Amino acid sequence: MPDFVVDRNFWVILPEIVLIAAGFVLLLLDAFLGRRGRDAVAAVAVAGALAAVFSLTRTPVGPEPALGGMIVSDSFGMFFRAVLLAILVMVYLVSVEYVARKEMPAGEFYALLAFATAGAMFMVTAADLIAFYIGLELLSISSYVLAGLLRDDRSQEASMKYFLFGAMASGILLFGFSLLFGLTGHTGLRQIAEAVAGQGVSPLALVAVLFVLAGLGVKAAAAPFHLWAPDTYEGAPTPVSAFLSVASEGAAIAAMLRVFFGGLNPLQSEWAPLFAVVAAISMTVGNVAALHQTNVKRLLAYSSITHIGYVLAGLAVGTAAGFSAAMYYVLAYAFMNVGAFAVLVVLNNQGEGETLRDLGGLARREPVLAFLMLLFLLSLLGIPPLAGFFGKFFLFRAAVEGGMTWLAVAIALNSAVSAGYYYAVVKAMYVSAPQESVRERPVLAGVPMQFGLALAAAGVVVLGLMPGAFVFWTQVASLVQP
Amino acid sequence: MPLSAFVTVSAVLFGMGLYGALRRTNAITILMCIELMLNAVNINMIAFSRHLSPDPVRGQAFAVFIMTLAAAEVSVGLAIMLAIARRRRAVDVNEVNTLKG
Amino acid sequence: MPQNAWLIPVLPLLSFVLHVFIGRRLGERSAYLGIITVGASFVLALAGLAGVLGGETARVSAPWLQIGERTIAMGYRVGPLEAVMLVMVSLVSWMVLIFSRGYMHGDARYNRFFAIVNLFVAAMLTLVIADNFLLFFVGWELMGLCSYLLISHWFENLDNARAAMKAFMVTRLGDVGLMLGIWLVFINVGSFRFEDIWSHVDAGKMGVGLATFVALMLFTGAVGKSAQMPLHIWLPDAMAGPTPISALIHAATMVAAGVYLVARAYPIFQAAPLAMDTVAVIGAATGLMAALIATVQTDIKKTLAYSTISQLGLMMLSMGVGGLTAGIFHLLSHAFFKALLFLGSGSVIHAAETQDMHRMGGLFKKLPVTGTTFVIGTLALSGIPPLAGFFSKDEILLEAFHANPVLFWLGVGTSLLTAYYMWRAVTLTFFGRPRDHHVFEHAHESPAVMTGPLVVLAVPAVLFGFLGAPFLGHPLQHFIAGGELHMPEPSGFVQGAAITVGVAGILGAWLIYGKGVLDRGAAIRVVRPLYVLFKQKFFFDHLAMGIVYVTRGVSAVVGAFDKYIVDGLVNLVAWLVLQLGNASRRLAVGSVQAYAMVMFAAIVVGMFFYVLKG
Repeated sequence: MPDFVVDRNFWVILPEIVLIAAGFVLLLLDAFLGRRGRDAVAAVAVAGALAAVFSLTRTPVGPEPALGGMIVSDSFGMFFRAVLLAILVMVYLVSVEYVARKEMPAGEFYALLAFATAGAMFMVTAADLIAFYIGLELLSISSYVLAGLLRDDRSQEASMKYFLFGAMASGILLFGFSLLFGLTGHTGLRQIAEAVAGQGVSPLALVAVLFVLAGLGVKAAAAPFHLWAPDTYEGAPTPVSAFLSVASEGAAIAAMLRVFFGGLNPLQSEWAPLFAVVAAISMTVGNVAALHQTNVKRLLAYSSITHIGYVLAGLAVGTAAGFSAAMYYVLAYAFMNVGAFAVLVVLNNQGEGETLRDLGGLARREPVLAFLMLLFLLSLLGIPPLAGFFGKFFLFRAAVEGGMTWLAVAIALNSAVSAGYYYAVVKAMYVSAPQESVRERPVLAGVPMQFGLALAAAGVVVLGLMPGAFVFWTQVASLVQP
Repeated sequence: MPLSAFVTVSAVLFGMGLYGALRRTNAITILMCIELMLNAVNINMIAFSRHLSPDPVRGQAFAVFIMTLAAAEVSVGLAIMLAIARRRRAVDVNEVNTLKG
Repeated sequence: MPQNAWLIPVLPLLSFVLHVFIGRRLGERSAYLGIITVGASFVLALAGLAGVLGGETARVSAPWLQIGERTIAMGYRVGPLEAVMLVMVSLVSWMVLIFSRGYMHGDARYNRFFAIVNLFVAAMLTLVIADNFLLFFVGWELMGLCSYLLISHWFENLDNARAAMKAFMVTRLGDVGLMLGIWLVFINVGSFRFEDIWSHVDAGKMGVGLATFVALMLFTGAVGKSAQMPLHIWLPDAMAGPTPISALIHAATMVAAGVYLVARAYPIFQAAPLAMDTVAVIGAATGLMAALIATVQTDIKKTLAYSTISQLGLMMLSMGVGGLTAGIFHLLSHAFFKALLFLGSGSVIHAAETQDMHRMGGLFKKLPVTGTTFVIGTLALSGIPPLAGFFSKDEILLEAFHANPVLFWLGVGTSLLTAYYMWRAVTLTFFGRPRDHHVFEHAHESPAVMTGPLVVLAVPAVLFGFLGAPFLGHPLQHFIAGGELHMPEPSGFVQGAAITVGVAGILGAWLIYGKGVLDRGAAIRVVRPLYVLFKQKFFFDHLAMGIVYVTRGVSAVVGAFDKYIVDGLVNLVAWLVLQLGNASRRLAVGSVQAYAMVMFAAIVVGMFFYVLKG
């Protein structure tokens, strides 16, 4: 047996290795098979993602870092890796038909998604700032290209805006990292925490906190660092928007949880108010801006800013309950948001747009699809007994018990406001008449799409009906112990 | 040379990059300005590594990674600009502005 | 068999699912899905009631979710109150479904209509048997959604869509309060189960201050759902929906859910005297105000809508003065005769193809069944003995009489006006000379599928009151209260007043509209020969005229208040939110550099924050 097989370091990053290997295989396959091999490439992509899921179950779990202190495969990392892989599988299934209809380069598309996911998985398992940065860049660079793959004006504009904003954000984040390194002399999160605890609060440390928060805030699309998100999500290919809104934002949240609760934990009293303010601004700004949208993709982009605001409330509270509530919300949000975007993908596949007019009368053209959209929207709105309700419930409870009642009230008020635009979508589907040109045209979803939608819907319902097991998981995987 | 000299140069460089990234309209120039910001970070890293860190290679290694990844980022960025330039003949960020609201 | 009660909401839910998947294939036959399942629910509800009468009760609860050391349970309970409510809701729903099969015949969205009604019935029944606030809230919100979808059923007319949105937003305002109340209860008690909450409150573990706040928050939800002042404005607009929906959702069941909510949380209210007073005052004020407005409506459905608001106000009044059983009693009896009246109005509209009462008249001859049942419903609502409304309203007045004279007289005034405007509606619609010959000529009695439910509902409208009659020993109240019941001292004065105002109201309406004393010429012709002998009568005419003018003036003022102040406030809040949205949307100007500026500005603000904080 070769040495690396018995080396623990190999097993710790096995899922990422599988994903990246699958990515290369996809690129090669695409090169050899050409256009006609599109379905084969899709099948291999899904198989690769499932192989990564399987290898995740074989990955050793433990709090001690591996790979020279770069990666830690603890249960927190496992939780988010599982979430990210679930997202990847769903996005793959949702994309198959879209890639074919839009004549997108299949090999690149699936391979870049695999690389982006691998990058996100490095981010959530990183124990060192260097590993963080590498994971972040792998995710970002792949995403820039993915956003522009549609090759039309809007898609390219989305890609360019995302790139320029993301590159600036990287610079800011790195500047924050360099200050942290200068302050502590370390890049490992554990050592940074020890050094910061020894030094106490210094102005430089606070500047570092601000820069790191802003840099990661951009990735998480938290207001006021969110402005790229609506433009990018609107212009990017719809499955990519779905991926970015859950995987990229989810990984950024996980990174925040790790950096702030891991490395910067001694400064909690300093950064917690910032998080509270960012959370409140995000949920409010995202909500009220969404009220005016007629493009549902853009509407969902603003709504994703709102949801990130809810999650950040959990971080602001800073208790064990807040921590696991934020984790639970990311999990729930992954299913419901991918589901909502997937319905738009189905429409796109018919060559239709994604405005409220395009959704008009969907209930009459395809009742099952409209019902699924209703399910996802109700979950986003937080109607029991769906996944989103419990996400909000746990956050609300954590905020009240953590002594941040005003934040809890902000969550409640914002949920009420968000009803306005979610119901605009419901109204379009159930009340408005379909557009004349498509009145009689049925809306068809292929088999992979059906699986993708079913997976998302199952997630929303299961997380809502049986949240217990998942709550337990978030509590076990939490970095903050009660 | 004292550490403060390095940090001052780095801060000035970062500020220049930042100003350029916010004010210039040509996307290529913005890209260059972002590179300035990253290089400011590199100076920081290496200076801190030399003067403060118990592990003298840590910061240098970080700087090497930043340079490598920045190169990758730039190549992707230029590809995106090129694609836009081919369709619109200009890479003025104010003209690539159809998505808003 | 109360143990099988879970089937009662599940059956309509099943029907809803079937509608979604195979409804369109069935065409108009799909209506039978709901008629059969809700009929089965009714039979099960009857069986459950029989079981409860035999001393059985169901309390099924299973742990559902573990949060920290707290366990949240899910389950249902069927005791006397729930059993009676189940029978009422399932019977009215069943009748409405049968009626709708005729009323909605040929509608373009026939299947959609029945699907949503089935979902609504499932939601309402879930709410009734829920043993905890969580499940209750699920039903509550689902009902709101169904109501919204059904009001906008004919969305081709933009006004209907707007009315639906208004209904949704206004009730949502109340829901925010309800949600807050439920959270507070959970945080304080540590459980969503009603029984835990009751025993917690009864043990005095909830302070008066908290109880008051919680009760007021919960009441906010009830105010929204039950269309109490100042959130009542959505209900008249909600009449834009199909008439069977008005009967089911906006008269008999959903709007009563607010009263039911107060009943569910009654121990909390009892622990908070201030909240009780608020409930009573808002209820009484709503009752009188809505009744005043009802007197000048020309649209038959609007009259009934204001009447509903007014009657819900009376129920709230009863709740607020401690008359839980009286309030529930009126809720039940009102559900029967108001559903009857609404379905009757549906039958009239179906025949006359107009909702304007001034274009009707003399329709009794053309619509004998509808007319007879409508008159029965009117008499029941007016509180004429021995019909259902008499006993239940009498009891509310009795409760108010023992609590506070002002509230009592407000209640009496409401009753007087109720009898007046209802008989006015009856007279304008069914009696007198036909005012629009086109309408009259084309009017025809509705098919049996529509008149059948009217006849069925007329039976409880006549007989239901005896279940709570004082001379039979208040069997219903004893059943609901579960034995220990403190009934207020009966009073001949109250009973006399109730009958007097009922009769006086009807008489007044008959004089003014039936005899046409409003028509000066006709009045003078009638009156002149008797001028000398019946001078007082003449004087009475003037008085009646004066009262009519004063009433009109007052209701115009109340209507204006309603339209410009209350409506305006609600609109103002909506406008503010929208403008805020516009401002934050303007941030997204499309330029990356502007976006980055915002980001750096935020970092700078953050630095200032730290500098100021020190």
